[in-house]
Amino acid sequence: MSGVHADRDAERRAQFEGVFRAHHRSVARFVAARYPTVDGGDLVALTFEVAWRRLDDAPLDAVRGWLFGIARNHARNAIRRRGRQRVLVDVLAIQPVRRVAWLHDERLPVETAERLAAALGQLSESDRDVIELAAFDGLSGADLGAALGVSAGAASVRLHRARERLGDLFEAGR
Amino acid sequence: MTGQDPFELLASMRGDDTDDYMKPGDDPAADVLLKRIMDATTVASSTPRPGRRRRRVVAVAVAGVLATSGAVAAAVWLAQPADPATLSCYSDASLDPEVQVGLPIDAESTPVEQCATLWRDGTLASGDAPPLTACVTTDGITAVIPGDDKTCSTLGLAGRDPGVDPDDTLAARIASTISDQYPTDCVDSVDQAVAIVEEILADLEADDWKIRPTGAITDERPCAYAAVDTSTQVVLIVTAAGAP
Repeated sequence: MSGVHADRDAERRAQFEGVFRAHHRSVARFVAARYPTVDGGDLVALTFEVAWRRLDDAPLDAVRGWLFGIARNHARNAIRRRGRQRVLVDVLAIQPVRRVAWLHDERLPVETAERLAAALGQLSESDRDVIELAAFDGLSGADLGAALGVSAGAASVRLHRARERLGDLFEAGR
Repeated sequence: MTGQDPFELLASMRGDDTDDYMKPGDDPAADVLLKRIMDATTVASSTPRPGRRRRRVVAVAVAGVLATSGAVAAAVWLAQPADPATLSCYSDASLDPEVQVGLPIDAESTPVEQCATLWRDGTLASGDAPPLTACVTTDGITAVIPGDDKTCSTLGLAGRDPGVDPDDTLAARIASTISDQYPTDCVDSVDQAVAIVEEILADLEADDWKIRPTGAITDERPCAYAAVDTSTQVVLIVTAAGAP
Protein backbone atom coordinates (compact mmCIF):
# COMPACT_ATOMS: atom_id res chain seq x y z
CA MET A 1 0.00 0.00 0.00
CA SER A 2 1.44 3.37 -0.96
CA GLY A 3 1.92 6.10 1.60
CA VAL A 4 -0.99 8.07 0.20
CA HIS A 5 -3.30 5.07 0.33
CA ALA A 6 -2.14 4.18 3.83
CA ASP A 7 -2.87 7.70 5.00
CA ARG A 8 -6.29 7.61 3.37
CA ASP A 9 -7.03 4.23 4.94
CA ALA A 10 -6.00 5.43 8.39
CA GLU A 11 -8.10 8.55 7.96
CA ARG A 12 -11.11 6.51 6.91
CA ARG A 13 -10.75 4.14 9.85
CA ALA A 14 -10.48 7.05 12.26
CA GLN A 15 -13.56 8.66 10.75
CA PHE A 16 -15.56 5.46 11.03
CA GLU A 17 -14.45 4.83 14.60
CA GLY A 18 -15.63 8.31 15.46
CA VAL A 19 -19.02 7.63 13.91
CA PHE A 20 -19.29 4.24 15.56
CA ARG A 21 -18.40 5.45 19.04
CA ALA A 22 -20.58 8.52 18.80
CA HIS A 23 -23.71 6.75 17.61
CA HIS A 24 -23.56 3.06 18.56
CA ARG A 25 -25.65 3.45 21.69
CA SER A 26 -28.16 5.63 19.97
CA VAL A 27 -28.59 3.15 17.11
CA ALA A 28 -28.91 0.27 19.58
CA ARG A 29 -31.66 2.10 21.46
CA PHE A 30 -33.43 2.97 18.21
CA VAL A 31 -33.33 -0.62 16.99
CA ALA A 32 -34.50 -2.07 20.30
CA ALA A 33 -37.38 0.36 20.55
CA ARG A 34 -38.55 0.32 16.96
CA TYR A 35 -37.95 -3.25 15.87
CA PRO A 36 -38.38 -5.56 18.85
CA THR A 37 -39.10 -8.54 16.64
CA VAL A 38 -35.78 -8.28 14.81
CA ASP A 39 -32.52 -9.51 16.29
CA GLY A 40 -31.20 -6.23 17.62
CA GLY A 41 -27.56 -7.26 17.79
CA ASP A 42 -27.55 -8.37 14.18
CA LEU A 43 -29.34 -5.27 13.02
CA VAL A 44 -26.98 -2.90 14.81
CA ALA A 45 -23.99 -4.79 13.41
CA LEU A 46 -25.43 -4.79 9.91
CA THR A 47 -26.16 -1.08 10.15
CA PHE A 48 -22.57 -0.25 10.96
CA GLU A 49 -21.22 -2.72 8.40
CA VAL A 50 -23.17 -0.90 5.72
CA ALA A 51 -22.09 2.43 7.17
CA TRP A 52 -18.45 1.35 6.91
CA ARG A 53 -18.83 0.46 3.25
CA ARG A 54 -20.75 3.62 2.44
CA LEU A 55 -18.85 5.97 4.69
CA ASP A 56 -17.98 8.21 1.80
CA ASP A 57 -21.71 8.81 1.27
CA ALA A 58 -22.42 9.74 4.89
CA PRO A 59 -24.00 13.19 5.25
CA LEU A 60 -21.74 14.93 7.72
CA ASP A 61 -24.58 17.00 9.16
CA ALA A 62 -26.96 14.07 9.58
CA VAL A 63 -25.00 10.97 10.48
CA ARG A 64 -27.43 9.87 13.17
CA GLY A 65 -30.42 10.05 10.85
CA TRP A 66 -28.44 8.35 8.11
CA LEU A 67 -27.65 5.45 10.43
CA PHE A 68 -31.28 5.21 11.52
CA GLY A 69 -32.26 5.11 7.86
CA ILE A 70 -29.92 2.20 7.19
CA ALA A 71 -31.32 0.35 10.20
CA ARG A 72 -34.91 1.01 9.08
CA ASN A 73 -34.31 -0.34 5.61
CA HIS A 74 -32.63 -3.47 6.82
CA ALA A 75 -35.16 -4.11 9.57
CA ARG A 76 -37.94 -4.04 7.04
CA ASN A 77 -36.04 -6.26 4.68
CA ALA A 78 -35.26 -8.69 7.48
CA ILE A 79 -38.90 -8.87 8.39
CA ARG A 80 -39.91 -9.30 4.77
CA ARG A 81 -37.32 -11.99 4.27
CA ARG A 82 -38.79 -13.98 7.07
CA GLY A 83 -42.21 -13.69 5.58
CA ARG A 84 -43.40 -11.81 8.58
CA GLN A 85 -45.35 -9.05 6.98
CA ARG A 86 -48.03 -9.47 9.57
CA VAL A 87 -45.49 -9.03 12.33
CA LEU A 88 -44.37 -5.78 10.75
CA VAL A 89 -47.94 -4.60 10.64
CA ASP A 90 -48.38 -5.63 14.24
CA VAL A 91 -45.21 -3.87 15.29
CA LEU A 92 -46.18 -0.71 13.54
CA ALA A 93 -49.66 -0.85 14.97
CA ILE A 94 -48.83 -1.89 18.48
CA GLN A 95 -45.63 -0.16 19.26
CA PRO A 96 -46.99 3.38 19.45
CA VAL A 97 -49.67 2.05 21.72
CA ARG A 98 -47.05 0.44 23.90
CA ARG A 99 -45.11 3.62 24.09
CA VAL A 100 -48.15 5.69 24.77
CA ALA A 101 -49.25 3.25 27.42
CA TRP A 102 -45.84 3.37 29.01
CA LEU A 103 -45.76 7.12 28.88
CA HIS A 104 -49.30 7.40 30.07
CA ASP A 105 -48.36 5.59 33.21
CA GLU A 106 -45.91 8.35 33.88
CA ARG A 107 -47.66 11.49 32.85
CA LEU A 108 -50.84 11.23 30.84
CA PRO A 109 -54.47 10.72 31.80
CA VAL A 110 -55.91 7.49 30.45
CA GLU A 111 -58.30 9.25 28.10
CA THR A 112 -55.55 11.29 26.48
CA ALA A 113 -53.27 8.28 26.11
CA GLU A 114 -56.02 6.28 24.49
CA ARG A 115 -56.83 9.08 22.06
CA LEU A 116 -53.17 9.41 21.18
CA ALA A 117 -52.87 5.69 20.58
CA ALA A 118 -56.03 5.66 18.49
CA ALA A 119 -54.91 8.63 16.41
CA LEU A 120 -51.51 7.07 15.77
CA GLY A 121 -53.12 3.80 14.87
CA GLN A 122 -55.28 5.47 12.24
CA LEU A 123 -52.42 7.25 10.50
CA SER A 124 -51.05 5.85 7.26
CA GLU A 125 -47.80 3.93 7.63
CA SER A 126 -45.95 6.76 5.95
CA ASP A 127 -47.35 9.40 8.29
CA ARG A 128 -46.82 7.26 11.35
CA ASP A 129 -43.24 6.65 10.31
CA VAL A 130 -42.35 10.31 10.12
CA ILE A 131 -44.19 11.08 13.35
CA GLU A 132 -42.35 8.33 15.18
CA LEU A 133 -38.95 9.35 13.88
CA ALA A 134 -39.57 12.94 14.88
CA ALA A 135 -41.46 12.49 18.15
CA PHE A 136 -40.10 9.25 19.54
CA ASP A 137 -36.60 9.33 18.09
CA GLY A 138 -36.06 13.06 18.14
CA LEU A 139 -34.98 13.48 14.53
CA SER A 140 -35.42 16.76 12.74
CA GLY A 141 -34.10 18.65 9.74
CA ALA A 142 -31.33 16.93 7.84
CA ASP A 143 -31.34 13.95 10.23
CA LEU A 144 -35.01 13.32 9.58
CA GLY A 145 -34.45 13.60 5.86
CA ALA A 146 -31.50 11.22 5.98
CA ALA A 147 -33.54 8.66 7.89
CA LEU A 148 -36.39 8.88 5.40
CA GLY A 149 -34.11 9.01 2.37
CA VAL A 150 -35.38 12.42 1.26
CA SER A 151 -34.15 16.00 1.48
CA ALA A 152 -34.48 17.96 4.70
CA GLY A 153 -37.10 20.16 3.01
CA ALA A 154 -39.17 17.22 1.85
CA ALA A 155 -38.95 15.66 5.31
CA SER A 156 -40.14 18.88 6.86
CA VAL A 157 -43.14 19.00 4.54
CA ARG A 158 -43.98 15.36 5.27
CA LEU A 159 -43.74 15.98 8.99
CA HIS A 160 -45.91 19.06 8.80
CA ARG A 161 -48.64 17.22 6.91
CA ALA A 162 -48.43 14.18 9.15
CA ARG A 163 -48.74 16.40 12.22
CA GLU A 164 -51.84 18.00 10.75
CA ARG A 165 -53.43 14.62 10.11
CA LEU A 166 -52.47 13.43 13.57
CA GLY A 167 -54.02 16.54 15.06
CA ASP A 168 -57.24 16.02 13.10
CA LEU A 169 -57.52 12.40 14.20
CA PHE A 170 -56.72 13.33 17.80
CA GLU A 171 -59.44 15.97 17.82
CA ALA A 172 -61.90 13.63 16.11
CA GLY A 173 -61.40 11.18 18.94
CA ARG A 174 -62.50 13.68 21.54
CA MET B 1 -57.13 18.75 27.78
CA THR B 2 -58.27 20.97 24.95
CA GLY B 3 -55.89 22.51 22.48
CA GLN B 4 -53.15 20.01 23.08
CA ASP B 5 -50.88 19.22 20.15
CA PRO B 6 -50.65 15.43 20.05
CA PHE B 7 -47.25 15.58 18.40
CA GLU B 8 -45.89 17.77 21.16
CA LEU B 9 -47.43 15.44 23.72
CA LEU B 10 -45.60 12.52 22.18
CA ALA B 11 -42.35 14.43 21.80
CA SER B 12 -42.47 15.72 25.37
CA MET B 13 -42.61 12.19 26.66
CA ARG B 14 -39.47 11.12 24.86
CA GLY B 15 -36.70 10.07 27.17
CA ASP B 16 -33.16 11.32 26.92
CA ASP B 17 -31.56 9.96 23.79
CA THR B 18 -28.41 11.88 23.42
CA ASP B 19 -25.57 10.39 21.46
CA ASP B 20 -23.36 9.59 24.43
CA TYR B 21 -19.87 8.80 23.18
CA MET B 22 -18.73 5.26 23.84
CA LYS B 23 -15.12 5.16 24.87
CA PRO B 24 -12.92 2.09 24.28
CA GLY B 25 -13.63 -0.40 27.03
CA ASP B 26 -17.10 0.92 27.83
CA ASP B 27 -18.71 -1.92 25.91
CA PRO B 28 -16.29 -4.75 25.06
CA ALA B 29 -18.77 -6.40 22.69
CA ALA B 30 -19.09 -3.18 20.73
CA ASP B 31 -15.31 -2.84 20.61
CA VAL B 32 -15.12 -6.33 19.12
CA LEU B 33 -17.76 -5.45 16.56
CA LEU B 34 -15.92 -2.27 15.59
CA LYS B 35 -12.67 -4.15 15.08
CA ARG B 36 -14.37 -6.91 13.14
CA ILE B 37 -16.08 -4.49 10.79
CA MET B 38 -12.92 -2.56 10.00
CA ASP B 39 -10.66 -5.60 9.77
CA ALA B 40 -12.84 -8.03 7.89
CA THR B 41 -16.15 -6.61 6.83
CA THR B 42 -17.89 -9.74 5.78
CA VAL B 43 -21.55 -9.18 6.37
CA ALA B 44 -22.96 -12.13 8.17
CA SER B 45 -24.73 -12.98 11.35
CA SER B 46 -23.12 -10.79 13.94
CA THR B 47 -24.52 -12.57 16.92
CA PRO B 48 -21.73 -12.79 19.48
CA ARG B 49 -19.69 -15.89 19.01
CA PRO B 50 -16.99 -15.86 21.65
CA GLY B 51 -13.82 -17.55 20.61
CA ARG B 52 -15.18 -18.33 17.21
CA ARG B 53 -12.41 -19.47 14.96
CA ARG B 54 -12.06 -18.48 11.38
CA ARG B 55 -14.28 -20.67 9.32
CA ARG B 56 -12.76 -23.10 6.95
CA VAL B 57 -14.06 -23.95 3.56
CA VAL B 58 -14.44 -27.66 3.26
CA ALA B 59 -13.84 -28.67 -0.29
CA VAL B 60 -15.80 -31.79 -0.98
CA ALA B 61 -15.63 -32.16 -4.67
CA VAL B 62 -13.74 -31.06 -7.66
CA ALA B 63 -15.82 -31.45 -10.74
CA GLY B 64 -13.59 -31.08 -13.69
CA VAL B 65 -15.37 -30.16 -16.84
CA LEU B 66 -13.41 -31.91 -19.49
CA ALA B 67 -13.77 -31.24 -23.12
CA THR B 68 -14.45 -34.37 -25.06
CA SER B 69 -12.00 -33.24 -27.69
CA GLY B 70 -9.27 -33.85 -25.18
CA ALA B 71 -8.65 -30.27 -24.14
CA VAL B 72 -9.45 -29.14 -20.62
CA ALA B 73 -12.08 -26.46 -20.95
CA ALA B 74 -12.41 -25.41 -17.33
CA ALA B 75 -12.35 -26.73 -13.83
CA VAL B 76 -15.23 -25.89 -11.55
CA TRP B 77 -14.30 -26.12 -7.91
CA LEU B 78 -17.21 -26.90 -5.70
CA ALA B 79 -17.36 -26.61 -1.94
CA GLN B 80 -19.91 -26.79 0.78
CA PRO B 81 -20.08 -23.82 3.11
CA ALA B 82 -18.56 -24.35 6.54
CA ASP B 83 -21.30 -22.06 7.79
CA PRO B 84 -24.50 -23.50 6.33
CA ALA B 85 -26.74 -20.99 8.06
CA THR B 86 -25.46 -17.69 6.71
CA LEU B 87 -25.96 -16.18 3.31
CA SER B 88 -24.44 -13.06 1.82
CA CYS B 89 -25.93 -11.40 -1.27
CA TYR B 90 -23.55 -9.29 -3.39
CA SER B 91 -24.59 -6.43 -5.64
CA ASP B 92 -21.76 -6.97 -8.10
CA ALA B 93 -19.20 -9.55 -9.09
CA SER B 94 -16.47 -8.35 -6.79
CA LEU B 95 -14.94 -9.46 -3.52
CA ASP B 96 -15.67 -5.95 -2.27
CA PRO B 97 -19.14 -5.29 -3.64
CA GLU B 98 -20.87 -1.98 -3.40
CA VAL B 99 -23.71 -3.53 -1.42
CA GLN B 100 -23.58 -6.72 0.59
CA VAL B 101 -26.52 -8.00 2.60
CA GLY B 102 -26.26 -10.82 5.10
CA LEU B 103 -29.19 -12.97 6.12
CA PRO B 104 -29.92 -16.41 7.50
CA ILE B 105 -30.33 -19.17 4.96
CA ASP B 106 -33.90 -20.25 4.52
CA ALA B 107 -33.99 -24.03 4.35
CA GLU B 108 -37.20 -23.88 2.34
CA SER B 109 -35.71 -21.72 -0.40
CA THR B 110 -32.41 -21.59 -2.26
CA PRO B 111 -29.64 -19.05 -1.76
CA VAL B 112 -30.03 -17.77 -5.31
CA GLU B 113 -33.77 -17.33 -4.89
CA GLN B 114 -33.32 -15.61 -1.53
CA CYS B 115 -30.91 -13.09 -3.03
CA ALA B 116 -33.04 -12.68 -6.15
CA THR B 117 -35.81 -11.51 -3.83
CA LEU B 118 -33.54 -8.76 -2.54
CA TRP B 119 -32.86 -7.67 -6.10
CA ARG B 120 -36.54 -7.62 -6.95
CA ASP B 121 -37.50 -5.56 -3.89
CA GLY B 122 -34.75 -3.04 -4.59
CA THR B 123 -32.51 -3.82 -1.63
CA LEU B 124 -29.47 -4.59 -3.74
CA ALA B 125 -30.33 -2.45 -6.74
CA SER B 126 -33.39 -1.42 -8.64
CA GLY B 127 -34.62 -3.64 -11.42
CA ASP B 128 -34.86 -7.32 -12.09
CA ALA B 129 -32.37 -9.77 -10.67
CA PRO B 130 -29.48 -10.48 -13.04
CA PRO B 131 -28.22 -14.03 -13.50
CA LEU B 132 -26.87 -15.11 -10.11
CA THR B 133 -24.50 -17.80 -8.99
CA ALA B 134 -23.72 -19.22 -5.56
CA CYS B 135 -20.11 -19.28 -4.37
CA VAL B 136 -18.43 -20.07 -1.07
CA THR B 137 -16.22 -17.38 0.43
CA THR B 138 -12.89 -18.05 2.12
CA ASP B 139 -14.79 -17.59 5.38
CA GLY B 140 -16.99 -20.54 4.45
CA ILE B 141 -20.11 -18.46 3.87
CA THR B 142 -22.42 -18.84 0.89
CA ALA B 143 -22.22 -15.75 -1.29
CA VAL B 144 -24.64 -15.21 -4.15
CA ILE B 145 -22.99 -13.06 -6.78
CA PRO B 146 -24.16 -11.71 -10.14
CA GLY B 147 -22.65 -13.84 -12.85
CA ASP B 148 -22.50 -17.31 -14.30
CA ASP B 149 -20.78 -20.58 -13.54
CA LYS B 150 -17.36 -19.05 -14.20
CA THR B 151 -17.79 -16.12 -11.83
CA CYS B 152 -16.82 -17.91 -8.64
CA SER B 153 -13.52 -19.16 -10.02
CA THR B 154 -12.83 -15.77 -11.63
CA LEU B 155 -13.03 -14.26 -8.16
CA GLY B 156 -10.91 -17.01 -6.66
CA LEU B 157 -13.85 -18.60 -4.88
CA ALA B 158 -15.27 -22.08 -4.92
CA GLY B 159 -18.67 -22.71 -6.36
CA ARG B 160 -21.29 -23.79 -3.88
CA ASP B 161 -21.83 -27.51 -4.01
CA PRO B 162 -25.52 -28.06 -4.62
CA GLY B 163 -25.26 -31.44 -2.98
CA VAL B 164 -26.94 -31.82 0.34
CA ASP B 165 -25.07 -32.65 3.48
CA PRO B 166 -27.51 -33.93 6.11
CA ASP B 167 -25.63 -32.22 8.94
CA ASP B 168 -25.63 -28.90 7.14
CA THR B 169 -29.33 -29.20 6.46
CA LEU B 170 -29.92 -29.83 10.14
CA ALA B 171 -27.87 -26.76 11.09
CA ALA B 172 -29.83 -24.64 8.68
CA ARG B 173 -33.10 -26.03 10.01
CA ILE B 174 -32.03 -25.30 13.57
CA ALA B 175 -31.11 -21.72 12.70
CA SER B 176 -34.31 -21.25 10.76
CA THR B 177 -36.51 -22.81 13.43
CA ILE B 178 -34.98 -20.75 16.21
CA SER B 179 -35.42 -17.64 14.09
CA ASP B 180 -39.07 -18.48 13.56
CA GLN B 181 -40.06 -19.91 16.92
CA TYR B 182 -37.98 -18.11 19.52
CA PRO B 183 -40.21 -15.58 21.27
CA THR B 184 -40.09 -12.07 19.90
CA ASP B 185 -40.80 -10.65 23.33
CA CYS B 186 -38.01 -10.40 25.86
CA VAL B 187 -37.19 -13.74 27.46
CA ASP B 188 -36.10 -12.63 30.91
CA SER B 189 -34.73 -15.92 32.15
CA VAL B 190 -31.73 -17.86 30.91
CA ASP B 191 -33.33 -21.07 32.14
CA GLN B 192 -36.45 -20.33 30.12
CA ALA B 193 -34.34 -19.63 27.04
CA VAL B 194 -32.52 -22.91 27.51
CA ALA B 195 -35.83 -24.73 27.85
CA ILE B 196 -37.16 -23.19 24.64
CA VAL B 197 -34.05 -24.16 22.69
CA GLU B 198 -34.01 -27.64 24.24
CA GLU B 199 -37.50 -28.20 22.94
CA ILE B 200 -36.55 -26.99 19.46
CA LEU B 201 -33.47 -29.22 19.36
CA ALA B 202 -35.49 -32.18 20.61
CA ASP B 203 -38.14 -31.63 17.95
CA LEU B 204 -35.43 -31.57 15.28
CA GLU B 205 -33.70 -34.61 16.81
CA ALA B 206 -30.47 -32.62 17.00
CA ASP B 207 -28.95 -34.97 19.52
CA ASP B 208 -25.37 -33.87 18.88
CA TRP B 209 -26.07 -30.21 19.51
CA LYS B 210 -25.35 -28.53 22.83
CA ILE B 211 -26.72 -25.46 24.55
CA ARG B 212 -24.32 -23.13 26.33
CA PRO B 213 -25.42 -20.10 28.38
CA THR B 214 -22.77 -17.38 28.21
CA GLY B 215 -24.01 -14.80 30.65
CA ALA B 216 -26.54 -13.90 33.30
CA ILE B 217 -29.55 -11.63 33.18
CA THR B 218 -28.68 -8.18 34.50
CA ASP B 219 -30.30 -4.76 34.49
CA GLU B 220 -28.19 -3.85 31.49
CA ARG B 221 -28.84 -7.15 29.71
CA PRO B 222 -32.36 -8.13 30.69
CA CYS B 223 -33.20 -10.44 27.80
CA ALA B 224 -31.86 -13.84 26.76
CA TYR B 225 -31.38 -14.63 23.08
CA ALA B 226 -30.33 -17.74 21.20
CA ALA B 227 -27.38 -17.64 18.81
CA VAL B 228 -26.48 -20.57 16.60
CA ASP B 229 -22.79 -21.38 16.16
CA THR B 230 -22.74 -23.95 13.41
CA SER B 231 -18.98 -24.41 13.58
CA THR B 232 -19.21 -26.01 17.03
CA GLN B 233 -22.82 -27.23 16.89
CA VAL B 234 -23.67 -25.13 19.90
CA VAL B 235 -26.61 -22.86 20.55
CA LEU B 236 -25.34 -20.02 22.71
CA ILE B 237 -27.70 -18.33 25.11
CA VAL B 238 -26.55 -14.73 25.25
CA THR B 239 -27.99 -11.86 27.22
CA ALA B 240 -28.45 -8.41 25.78
CA ALA B 241 -30.57 -5.31 25.91
CA GLY B 242 -34.14 -5.80 24.78
CA ALA B 243 -37.13 -3.77 23.77
CA PRO B 244 -38.26 -1.23 26.38
